[in-house]
Formats: sequence, structure tokens, C-alpha cells
Amino acid sequence: MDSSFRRRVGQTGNLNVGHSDHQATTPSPLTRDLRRPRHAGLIEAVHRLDAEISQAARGDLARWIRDQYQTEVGDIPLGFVAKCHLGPPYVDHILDLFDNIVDHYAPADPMPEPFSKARMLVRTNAYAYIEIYGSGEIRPVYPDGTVVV
Amino acid sequence: MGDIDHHLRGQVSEVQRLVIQLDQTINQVGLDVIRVGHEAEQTRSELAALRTDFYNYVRQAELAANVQRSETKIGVLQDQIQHEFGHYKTVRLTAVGMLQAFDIGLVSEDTVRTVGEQLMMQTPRYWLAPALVGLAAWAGDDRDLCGRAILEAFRRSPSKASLFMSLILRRQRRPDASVRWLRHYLAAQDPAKLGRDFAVILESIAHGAFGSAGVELMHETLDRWTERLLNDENVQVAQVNRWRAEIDAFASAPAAADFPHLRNLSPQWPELEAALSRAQVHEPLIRKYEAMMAEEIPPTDRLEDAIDDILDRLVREYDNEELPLRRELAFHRAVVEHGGDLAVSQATVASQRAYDSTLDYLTIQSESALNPTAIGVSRTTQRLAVAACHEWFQRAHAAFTRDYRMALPPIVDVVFGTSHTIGAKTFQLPQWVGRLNEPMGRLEHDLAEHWDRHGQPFVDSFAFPLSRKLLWPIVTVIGVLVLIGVCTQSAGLAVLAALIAGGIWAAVLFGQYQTAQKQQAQARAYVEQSKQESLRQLRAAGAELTDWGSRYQQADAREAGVRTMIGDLANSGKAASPYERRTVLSK
Repeated sequence: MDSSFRRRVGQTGNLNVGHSDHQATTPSPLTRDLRRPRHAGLIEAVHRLDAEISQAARGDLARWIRDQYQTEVGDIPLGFVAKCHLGPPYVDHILDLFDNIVDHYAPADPMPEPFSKARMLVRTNAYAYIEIYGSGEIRPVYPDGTVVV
Repeated sequence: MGDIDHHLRGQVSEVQRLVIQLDQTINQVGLDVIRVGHEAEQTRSELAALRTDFYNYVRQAELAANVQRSETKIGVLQDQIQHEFGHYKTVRLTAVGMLQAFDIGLVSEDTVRTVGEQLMMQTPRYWLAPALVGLAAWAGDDRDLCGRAILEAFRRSPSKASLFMSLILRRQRRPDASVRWLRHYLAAQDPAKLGRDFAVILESIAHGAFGSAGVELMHETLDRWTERLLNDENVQVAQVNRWRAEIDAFASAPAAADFPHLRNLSPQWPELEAALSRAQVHEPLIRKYEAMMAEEIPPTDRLEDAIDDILDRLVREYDNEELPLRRELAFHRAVVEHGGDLAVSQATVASQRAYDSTLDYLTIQSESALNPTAIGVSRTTQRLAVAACHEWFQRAHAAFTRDYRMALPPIVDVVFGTSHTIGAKTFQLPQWVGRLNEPMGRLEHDLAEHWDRHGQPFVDSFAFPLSRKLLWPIVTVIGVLVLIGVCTQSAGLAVLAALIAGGIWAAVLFGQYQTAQKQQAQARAYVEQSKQESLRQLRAAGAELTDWGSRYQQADAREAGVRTMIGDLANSGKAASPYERRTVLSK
């Protein structure tokens, strides 16, 4: 499979929060909280994460999003998969909240697990973005903030 | 010497003729084998089709037998219910009849009393019989008897007797006493283990039967219960699963007949088929629930009539002794409804909780919304229950949609294996795999090339091997030339003899060449025909995928419509619970 189209923005962040740390320290969230609609500010911030050019600004934004998820939802996703607005050949991208990376993908590029499972959801254009959790759970978020748990 | 040579030449010619004949026969046999193979494959395909038809026929016969058996069983069960519990019916009819008789004052107190006492003796253990004696005593102003009779009814069935009394007092315009009974009833209830008769409460609320004081009490109680039950995630999940089963039941039948090539050639067909049948759920969902919401249900003019209907339900629908028979009856009705499919019927009945003897409050809401006949509520109550359950409906629908969308294959392959056509089977064509998201022109080119590459050796095997065939005649001609030249010492004679020998050879070879050409053309035509058939199937699969795509997208696009409709359902209920609805028939 040709992966020449893949475009990576950013680098491994200097944030000290790793996936495993997060999984180990976060208490089990209440399901009622997980279903709490994502507010407009959060949705906008996730979209800005892709557009942000400065690495430092992106790092700040990612930290803010993580904080929001921690307080509002009680669980922090590994990252998001969303529609890519860069145009052809890219169709979707991964926004990694912990490694602070934005990765753009063409249709033929393989996406790493567990993000790849969300690709077909992105292509429907029905969701604002898809949350991917370390547990393997995939929770699409509608543009109005409703989340599918 | 000349004689020997002549004889030898004759022998050689004869051998050559036989060899040529053998060659031609072998080639002919080769072609005949292919033809026979072709015919055998055709016969095998026809046999396979016949077998499929036979299995279908057997299945149809089995389904028809199941339907017939269930229809018979429905009659038997109805008779059994009538036989075992039919005597209750008289009591039930008498209850409402007695109340209506009080209303118009046409029946003497003595008659009412006699009837009540008779029924009391004829229906031992039945809770309604002492309640009727109580009613008769009330009418006759016999306080002591009335008290004892009601106490006995309460002992036999506390919840039904309380509800009965609450409704009757409401009917007789005694709101305070009615609310007292209602409070009595509610205090004894565990929201996690309610009797099926609790559906009567929903029914009464839907019809405003309790009046404003009753509604307030219900409001307070149901709010508390809902809050308590919603803290239990398992209860919520159970409701969402119940709604998910309702949505799953809308999945249309597989559309394999519309996509025969895709089904045969694509390994992703099962996923495509499942996605389409699930995406086609949205439209019928919208139709069903919009029709339900748009339906005009004329309100009852009199409070008495509304309560009589509810009392009728209370005394008719909720006797637990009848539940096993009713459950069995529901199964056989489902078999008839699903055209004899036992597995689907079992799954349908298993997902329904309406025939459980105890249910939690939220399940009663869901069952009232999804299975109103089984739990015994009216269309009005069903509508309010649907509105009250909108959140679970929304969640189940969103998860249902996510799941089928996520299971869509990103790439659709077509596999042309050794057995995709009779030709491919005959020529043992190696497998070729193409991706339908690539341009069709390129796919056709690749498949044609694959056929050419693997069909060519077969065609080549019929080619005329000129160099090999020419070797022996040349050697013979030179041999004749040298032999005759040496023997006769005459160059002219030698050349003549060589020309004659060469001429005979040339004539034989030419005949042989023509036969080989003909056979090769036949072989090429076979390969070409098989190749064209494969290409036709490829184009058909491509066209079917396009058709599938447009049908899927059209069906999937209705998802937003369902979301809007569920939002409207929530609004049409005006509130999360039906008890917040205005009291239509309060005094």
C-alpha cells in the first residue's frame, strides 16, 4: 500500500502525559457523563487543532481540550479522526491529543489502529468528529454536540 | 533395389499418414473433451440450481406448515383461555355493568346485591368478586359489609383492588378518597418490580382520569422513581437495548436478488448487504412514528366512559395466572405474522417484556410504547409512552447507525476464481482479484490480459508445429534425392522422385496445417467467449456496486430525518413524562 501521500504535522510532544499514564490514573467515568453533549467551544477547538500551524499553540489547545474532557466527560480520548479539509489527495486526519500530532491521510493510506475503525464514519459527513479511546471505544460526535456512546 | 526402395517409401508414407491421422484425432479429442467438460459444467450448474430450488421449496413448505400449526394452536389457546378463565369474564362484564346501572338507576339494589353474591361464590380466589360485593353493599348503604368485602378484595390483590377503588371513587366524583387509594397503591409499589397492572396508571394519566390532585401525586412519585432508576445504568441499558431490538426488527430482507453478480464475486458482499438492509430502516421508522403522531384519537366525552374503558382494561388484561397461556399465544401470533419463521418469532417474543409478571417502571414505559397490545394500553397511552422514551429511542438509533456505518468495507473487491464461469472452470483459470474503486476501464484491461495470458497456452497447444513437421519430410526428400541419384546415376530422375515425395508431403502437411488452424480457431473462440463472459460479469458487478451505492446513500441520508422525528416526538409529549400532560378530563 502506498503511503507516500501521508502528511504529518507536528512532532512528538514534550507533554509528560502518556497514553498509559492517562489510562492508569483516570478513574472510571460515569456513563451519564460520557453521554453529556460536547459543547460548541470544544467542537470548535477540535477543529482548530487541525488548522493551528504553530506547534506551541497546538500544544496549548490540546492541553485545553484534554482538561475539558477531564472535567466535562471524565474520560480523555486518545485522539480524534475527522474529515480533512486540505483537499485531495487527503480525505481524513488523526488528531492525536497526547502526542500532539496531526496526520493527514489519502484514501489508500493505511491508518493505524484503533483510529482506522472510524474512517468509514468520517466519510459519511454526518459527524463533526470521532472520538477514539484507549479502551478501543469509538464515539462519534454530531455537529450539535450529541455523542453516540 | 528399386523395388525395396519403393516398398520402403510406401511403408514410410503409410506410417506418416497414420501419425498425421493420430495427431488430428488427438487434437479432435482435446476439443471434444473441452466440449464435454463445458456440457458437464452446464449440467452441474443446472443441477445446483435445481437443488437450490428444491431447498427453497422445502423451506417454503416448512414455513407454511409452521403458519398452519400456529393458526391451529392460536384457536386452541384461545379456547383454553376461555375455558380456564372464561368464568372471570362474567365478573368483569358485571363490574362495569354494575357501575353503569348505578349511573342510570335502572336496577334494584337487591338485584345488584344478589348478582354480586352469586359471583362471589362462583369465582373463588378472584379478587374482583368481593370488590363487586363491596360495590353492591355501598349502593345499599351497608357500610360494614362494604368494608369487609373491600378488605377481602384487597387481600386477594392489593394493587388491583387499590387501583380499582381509586378509579371508581374518581368516577363517582370523590377525588379526595380516590387520591387516598392512589397513595395507598403507590406506597406499596417498588418501581423496580411493578406489576403489569401499573400500565393502567399510564393509561389513566393519558386520559386524565385521576384529576389534578392525582396528577400531582403521580408527578411527584414518578419523578422520584425515574430519578432512582436512571441512576442504575443497567436499567437504562436494558431500555436502550429494547429500543435497539425494535429498530433491528425494521431491517429489511436481504436484497441479494438485486445484486446477483456482486453477491457471487465480492467477498465483501455480506457487509454490503447488511449495511444496505440496515440503512433502509430509517424510512419505515419515520413512516411508522410520524403516522402514530399524526393519528387523530377522538377524546371520550364523559369521564365515566374514559374510566370505564380503563376499568375494563384493569379487570381484563392483568391477571397473572393467564400469563403463560398469553405468552404462548403471543408466540404463535408472531409465527403467523412472520410467515412461519420460528427463529425470528422466538427472538421477537423474547425481546418483549410485556408478559413478565413484574417489570420496572421504565420497562413498562418502553413496553407501552413498543408493545401496547401485550401490556394492554390504548393508542393514546402508547403515544405518550413513545414521547417519554425518546431518549432511549435516540440513543438506540444513533448507536445502530454508527454500528452499520462503521462496518462498511472501505474497499470492495471482485474475485474471479477458478469457478466463476464454466469457461474458467474448464480452463482452470487462476484467481484474479480486482478492486471496484479503480476505474472500470483499467479493471477490464487487467482481466482481459489475465485471460489472454492464461488462455494463450491452451490456444497455442493447437498450433501447427511447422519446424518439427518439416524436419522429417526434408530429411526424406534429401534421402530420396541421394538414394535415387546414387542408384540410378540420373540427376533428373532423382530430382523428379524427390519432387514427387516432397509434393506428397506438402499436400499432407497442408491438410494437417488447415485442420490445426481450424482447431486453434475453435480453441481461441472458446477462450474469447469465456473471457467476454468474465468481462460482462465484471461490468455487471461494477454497475451493481454503483446501484448499491446510490441506494445505500439515499437510505442512509434519511438518518437525519429520524433524528429530527425523535426530537419532534420529545416535543409532542411536551415533557419527559406523560404525567406532565394536561388533564383532559378533569372535572
